[in-house]
Amino acid sequence: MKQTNLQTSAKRLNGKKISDMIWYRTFQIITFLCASVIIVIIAFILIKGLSPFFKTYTIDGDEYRVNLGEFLIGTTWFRHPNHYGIGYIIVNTIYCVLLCLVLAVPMAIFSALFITRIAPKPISKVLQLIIELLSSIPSIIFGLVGMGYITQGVKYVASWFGVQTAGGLSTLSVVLVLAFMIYPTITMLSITAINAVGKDIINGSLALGASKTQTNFKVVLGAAKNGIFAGIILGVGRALGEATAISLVSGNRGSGPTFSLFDTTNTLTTTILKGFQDTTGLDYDIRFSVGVVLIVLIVAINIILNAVKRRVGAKV
Amino acid sequence: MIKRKIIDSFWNVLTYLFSSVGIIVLLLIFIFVFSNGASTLSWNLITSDYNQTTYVLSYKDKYDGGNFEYKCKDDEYFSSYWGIAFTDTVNTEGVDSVIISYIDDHSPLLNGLLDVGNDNYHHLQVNQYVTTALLVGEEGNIISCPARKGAESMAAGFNRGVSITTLNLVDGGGGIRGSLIATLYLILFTLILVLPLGIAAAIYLSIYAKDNWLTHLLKSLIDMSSGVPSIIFGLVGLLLFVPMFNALVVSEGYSILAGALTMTIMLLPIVISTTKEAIDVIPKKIISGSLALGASQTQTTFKIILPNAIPGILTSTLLAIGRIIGESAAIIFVMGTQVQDHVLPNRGGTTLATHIYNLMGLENPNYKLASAIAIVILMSVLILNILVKLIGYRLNKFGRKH
Repeated sequence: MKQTNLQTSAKRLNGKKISDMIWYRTFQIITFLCASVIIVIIAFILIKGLSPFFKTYTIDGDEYRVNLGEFLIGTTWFRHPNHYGIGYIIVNTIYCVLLCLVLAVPMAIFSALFITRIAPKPISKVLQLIIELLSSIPSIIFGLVGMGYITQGVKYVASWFGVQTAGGLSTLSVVLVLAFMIYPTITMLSITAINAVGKDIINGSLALGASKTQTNFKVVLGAAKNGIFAGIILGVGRALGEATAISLVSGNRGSGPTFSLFDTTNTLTTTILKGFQDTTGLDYDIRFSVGVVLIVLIVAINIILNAVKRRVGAKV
Repeated sequence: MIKRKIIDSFWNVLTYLFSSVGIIVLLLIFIFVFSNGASTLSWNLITSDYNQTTYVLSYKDKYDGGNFEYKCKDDEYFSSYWGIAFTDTVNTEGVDSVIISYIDDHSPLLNGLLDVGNDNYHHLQVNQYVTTALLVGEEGNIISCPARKGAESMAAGFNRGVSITTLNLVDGGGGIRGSLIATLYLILFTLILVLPLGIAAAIYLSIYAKDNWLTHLLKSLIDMSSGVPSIIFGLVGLLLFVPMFNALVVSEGYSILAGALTMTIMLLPIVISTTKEAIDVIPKKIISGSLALGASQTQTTFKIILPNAIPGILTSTLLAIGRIIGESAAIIFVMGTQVQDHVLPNRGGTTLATHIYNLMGLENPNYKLASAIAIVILMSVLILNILVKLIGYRLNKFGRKH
């Protein structure tokens, strides 16, 4: 009697072990699946995106392939039949993102400082809520408002300078829309970074006779710069990858590069988006090549910014 | 000292100025969206189709006239001869028009109108727009009632006419029912896919995985995919999922199913990290207590860890819904930009966000309808945000580790 009891409990234990094993493996396989997503993405985009440079396409009876060097430094998007160039688009993209940072970063840092160190508690709470709400507004709505208000404003300002714009579709509109979109992201990360600054550093600065403002700008920001930089990196990523909102306000430029604020422009993402539904063959495949360039650009900029962050962070 | 103070106040004023930018931007967005969209937004907009159907109808026989009775509301005009009431309204495109607001049960118009196009009898319904009506009077004179003259003259014209030569009718149009249903489908399918996968991966990473190089690699690979821009996910979906469903013979071209798979791989990192955060704050003693009492690892996972991680799972669900509602770039590539009224999971369609993109890409951008959709999106995002906050305050038993 006693033995059978022992046997059944041993069996039960064994059953438990088997079910444990099954669940363990299931969870493990799912995790591997989730982690492999990024590899699949890169592999497929690379294969499809590099094909225009190796595969031959038949256009009007003749066979063509695209020259990689010409593609990377070209100053005209498309010349019949197989000449594609995105060099100027890369320059335009970087130029727009740089200008957008010039606008958004000071705005974000000052706002974060105001919310954490200067404003009275109720005001800072309301402001923080507003920033959070702003960060959750979908990009298409920024595009809609950008098209309704910002392009009109840009058109108006341009007319002061006697410049004719394409209905306000311009570099400046793109920069403004991008800046308003990444402003909350950078602000939120800066707030977290500033809140993490130790009280003793602040008190020490005040005790040494520095004014409150001096402490805020020289000590607090200095101590929080690593976190602020992380926010900037995130913001740059968002600005580089944004597509629909800026495709509504950019206009579509056939050749370039352009550095005028009131000229139409285009970025890598808007180039992928514009007109992909109406084309086939080489013109369709080449958009995946633009996607590859976009990924490479994002990775490169991330590496550079992280190196800068390490350099800046080391110098306290 | 005075110089110091001046410099200090200069910097302080700068912070005031810059922090007000956030408020101004938010205000501008709300002012724009509400001033353009508030008048268009209505229940009718949400329930009606985007594509209009037009009918040309006629009532050839001479009608002797009934003596219908109906108690009109303030803005309604009733034709007692035909038993039909009209109201002045603005259609979903913002043009003044006349809508049928009431039809008497015994009115000849209800079932007796002949569709000129296919000779079938047309069932007249409330909420259809009348663009023009041509009636024949008692003495054979023609009475013309265009919609721009308003509902009052339309009702008066109907009272004088004994038969209807042509009645131009427009059914619906400019509504967002299709996009709304497509959005809900997309949310449903994406959640069905992303929640089990994300929760399983989160459980594995925080409970089962050993602390070795492989786990670190898995974590950093998952983190990396959160930095990929959504347009790239769109390209991958177009390359991988759209042909996949086409090959399985469930779809032709774009489909909501492909959209759901694309959104799934896009949202996995968010769901995993939010759920993992919730699992990580469960005190270790609860888990070891369960194991010490003889529960197996599986029992502990499903009866102790999962119930305690529910706030995190809920939060990740809400975040995922918010992202799906707002996403546009990825969805354009896998679901297309053609607005559909009859939504099927294996066909393309637009979500609310891509519906806006479609409207803005038209020759004359339809700001009114786009803003009305934007109000719907903003409100849902606002509600989701509030819910996330509430869950954060109420349900998080163990508090967050910082």
